[in-house]
Amino acid sequence: MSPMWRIGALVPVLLVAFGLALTRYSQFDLRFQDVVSLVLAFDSANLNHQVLLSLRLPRALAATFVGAALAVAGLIMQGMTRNPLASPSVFGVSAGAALAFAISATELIAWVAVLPLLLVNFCGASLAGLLVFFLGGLHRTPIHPVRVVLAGVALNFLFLSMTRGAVILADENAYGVFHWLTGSLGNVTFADVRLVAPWTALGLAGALWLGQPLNLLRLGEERMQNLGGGLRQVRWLGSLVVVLLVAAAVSVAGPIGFVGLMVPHVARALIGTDYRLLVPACALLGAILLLVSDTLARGLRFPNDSPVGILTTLLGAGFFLFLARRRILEAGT
Amino acid sequence: MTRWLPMSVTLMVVLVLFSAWHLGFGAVKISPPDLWRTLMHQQPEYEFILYGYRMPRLVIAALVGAALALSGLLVQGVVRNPLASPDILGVTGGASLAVVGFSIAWTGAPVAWVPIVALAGGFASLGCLLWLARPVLNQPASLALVGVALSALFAAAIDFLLTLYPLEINSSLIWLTGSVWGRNWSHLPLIVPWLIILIPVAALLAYRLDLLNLGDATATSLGTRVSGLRLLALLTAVALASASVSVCGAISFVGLVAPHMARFLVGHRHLPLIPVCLLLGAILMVSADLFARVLMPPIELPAGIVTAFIGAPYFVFLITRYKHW
Repeated sequence: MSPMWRIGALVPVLLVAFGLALTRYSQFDLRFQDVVSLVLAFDSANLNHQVLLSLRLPRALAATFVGAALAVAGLIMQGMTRNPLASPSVFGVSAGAALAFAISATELIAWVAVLPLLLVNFCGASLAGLLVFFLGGLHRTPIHPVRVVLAGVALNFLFLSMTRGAVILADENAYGVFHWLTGSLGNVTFADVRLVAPWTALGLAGALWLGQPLNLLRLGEERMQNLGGGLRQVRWLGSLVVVLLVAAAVSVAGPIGFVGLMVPHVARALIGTDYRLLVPACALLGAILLLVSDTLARGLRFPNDSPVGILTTLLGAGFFLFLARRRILEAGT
Repeated sequence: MTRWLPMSVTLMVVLVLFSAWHLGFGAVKISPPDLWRTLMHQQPEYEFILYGYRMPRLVIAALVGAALALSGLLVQGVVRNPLASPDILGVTGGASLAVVGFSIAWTGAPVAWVPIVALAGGFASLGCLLWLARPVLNQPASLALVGVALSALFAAAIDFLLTLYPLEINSSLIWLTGSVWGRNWSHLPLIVPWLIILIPVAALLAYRLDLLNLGDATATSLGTRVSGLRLLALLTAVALASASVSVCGAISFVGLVAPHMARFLVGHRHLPLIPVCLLLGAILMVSADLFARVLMPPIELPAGIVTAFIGAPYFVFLITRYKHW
């Protein structure tokens, strides 16, 4: 099966995951027939239709967009740094956006709270990205991969602690802490979907355009420049795309961890190394992963809701350990 | 180096000053003269606040800081790795995961079990780390990378457990970030015996750790049993870190920063390093808890957050300066 067909095969999987996310684990007895009849003939007196439309649909749509955004952001980061451990959550970009989110939402600094949320998150993610970029030594030509990762992890931890501090200072009984730090899709509305969708679409378009330059960059910085690729241009546009996607995702769902680390590796195993194909594959796989995780997270403590972030983070941290170890073994031999 | 004695005395003075501030500050402010009179039992007015709340918290913070600092010193000495410390290698994370799992599985378990569970968790995570990082034990950055990944996994597991089985919020915060909130005299027996036993052990190992610094071959030819020494020192370090976790959760970066500061002050020999390191750890922890309360009273932050504010940037600074990639 050619890679193109494999990407095509992911579409029905996405639809099934979407259907499951719509119907499974609900207090109301939702069935797949309800979804079908909703599409065919919407009946505003039907309670199941109302539940699906006002609660489930925005949640599933948000999971789709956020998953796609985070996965593609991870892919672009891995492509730009040529580092298999790069991803928004390992390098602290998500945590930076989440810190900005927390500062804005808790009104700790009054004038930040007035600005639009997406702009605040965008600034937070950019700042975190720039810090990792310079502290990790990415601006020098020979990049040491372990160094970037360690710098990123430390910054991630710093932002996480600052977010915790901000939330505790703002909210004395501190119950919000878990919600702010793990990322959840529990309270998503159509307004959130409208916020995230256009920016994710824009980011994905940018990522598709980056496919060919990233293929060149895979050969190495120097060879890319010899072949006429603009290294500086790719880095700027790539960073912009990453920050945009992460900011959009965090605005809606908080810092959902490690989606951007796992999905690109799965996609590479499935599709190969061509970035032009990897971008759509990652978007689809990321959406599937987040839809399935969100459904499972709902089932963890059913009928209580659990944040989806705890599932992806647990899964992803194991994956991170596996990757770190494999990288080291490869470097050792 | 004969600098260690004046240095220790200076640090002791600093510690006493911070402690006085720590004891005096709070919802009820106690002025220094009042504090002195209360300590001399001439003024009963503040005795309850002082001996019931602030003194135990101060003592616990100082002891925990000292234990973590010594643990970091031993770990850095053994693996000869400036980036190593019990929290970066995942030992404190593993110990807190064990305690969280234990307190969820057995609600109302006697407190006396907690240090043993923490110790088991600490040893298990050390075992995991050494097994996973077998091929790269002599490459500092790679070892730190595996440790960091292991810590991330433990932290994720703690998040997961605490979300599924919510504890009371303040005890949850202790296991998420480390905090000396609400610690009292009853927590003292969890850590004091360990310090009494393990500080002399560390002092006995100090001279051999100096030899280890010369390289494995030299140390062996000078009559050191290198692998046995390594094991003993690591076990001591893990026991110290786990004891501190059982009292107040995983406090980050004290074990990394304090040994570096100590080396900067008194050089590289372990025997003088030990007292300086203990004092520095205590100062760091007491001042962190102090700033956690001073920042925006009456709200207080967990001390672990303040140590992260200091420690994480320092770790990044270490990475940017580290040359042996």
